Amino acid sequence: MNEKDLFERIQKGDEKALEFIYKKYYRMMTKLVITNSGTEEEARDVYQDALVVFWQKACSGKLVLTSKMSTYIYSICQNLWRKELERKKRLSNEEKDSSVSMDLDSPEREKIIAKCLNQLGETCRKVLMYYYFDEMSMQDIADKLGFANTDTAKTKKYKCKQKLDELVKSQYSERDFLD
Amino acid sequence: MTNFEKIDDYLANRLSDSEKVTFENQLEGDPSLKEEFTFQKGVLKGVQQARIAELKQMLNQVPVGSAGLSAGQIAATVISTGVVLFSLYYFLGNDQPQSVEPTAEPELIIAPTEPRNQVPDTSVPVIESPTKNEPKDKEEPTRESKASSPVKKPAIHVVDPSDEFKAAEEPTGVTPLRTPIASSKLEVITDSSDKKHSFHYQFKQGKLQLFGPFENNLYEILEIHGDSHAVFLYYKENYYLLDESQNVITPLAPIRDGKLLQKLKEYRGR
Repeated sequence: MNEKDLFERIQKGDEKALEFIYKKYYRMMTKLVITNSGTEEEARDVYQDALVVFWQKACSGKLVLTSKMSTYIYSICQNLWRKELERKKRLSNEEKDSSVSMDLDSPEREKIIAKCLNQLGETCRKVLMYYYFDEMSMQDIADKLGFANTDTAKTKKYKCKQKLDELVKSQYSERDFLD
Repeated sequence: MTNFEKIDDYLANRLSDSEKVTFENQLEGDPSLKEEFTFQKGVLKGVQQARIAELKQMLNQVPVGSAGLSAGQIAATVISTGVVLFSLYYFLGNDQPQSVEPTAEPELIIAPTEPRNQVPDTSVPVIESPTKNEPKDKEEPTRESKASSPVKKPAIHVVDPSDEFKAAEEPTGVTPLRTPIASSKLEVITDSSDKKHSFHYQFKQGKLQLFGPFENNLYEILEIHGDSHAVFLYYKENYYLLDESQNVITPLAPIRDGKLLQKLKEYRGR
């Protein structure tokens, strides 16, 4: 499979192609973090985050590659790891200033949505994820999920979103959604 | 267009720049719209996070092998022992032990044969469509946002993966990742398109040609230098002897000799 074919498959939302890339560049990408004071777990995490960024940009059609995929992914890994090092350093300095932890970042909202998404069923969950995260075109969503056409995909997405909103509103308070 | 649709299109980055500005102005002057917007934004962020978690979970299921030699799709590993000569004993069937002392440890030389030929830049080399904005939080799916801080930017030692990238471009096809003891001149070519030869090899014009799905998995070439010279292929936990005089396409047959296998494992493991 050549570079062009692989990238086209990624653009179409082929998750198998993403897995292939993940495996292919695993050692190369994780080495960057491991040789820069990172653990293997951190390296894997950074690499996965980088691939998710790459995936999202490719699926949404925003990415026009001017280099090899590996070069692009490597650059994202570098940026992510640099930011993580900055964050660690900042945290380390803050700990010196104050021993009080101010962890206000609650994943509660994510848990709520994840639960509601699962209640919607597989098709709705996929439609919403493909549309709102992968930012796939309606045509790609229709192709991937076997809808007759883009109008069907649009209608499905609209209904699924309405259903998700209702579900969330019926089960949880507004307070859960304050930033 | 209903408020729901406007909010939806705005949050999904599907409005033009001018439409965005209009919507943002409207948002400032309409508290109920803003309230609905906050709710929708929360829901969408949740959907995005759920997708990220799903993708990462999927990647976690992908076997990536051990840290030593894995992940690279293809590696040609040349073990140059310099002087090790166990091969004569086992491979040539000589019952008399050789008394030659090794002068150097085998060197693993890893050279991907994929055309990965560029050293990554430190900046992201990409042109993105200017018609769509993207939420910044997607850049760092699991990391907290960066606050302004006087903390000095940490320096990253950029691992130069060019050793791993550029090997395929080298004329010899095998470029040492580490200091070579005795660089192999062996060039490896893979061919997965030949339907008649699904797991074969041949030496042609000084190059090793492998027929079969070698692009999909790791393989290694073990080259033994000594009084005699021998080339082995390691692929999917089997070792194969490659006869350098073999200039016709020949099926690959795994080595079964236990002692030889043991020795090869030892040298490959170094």
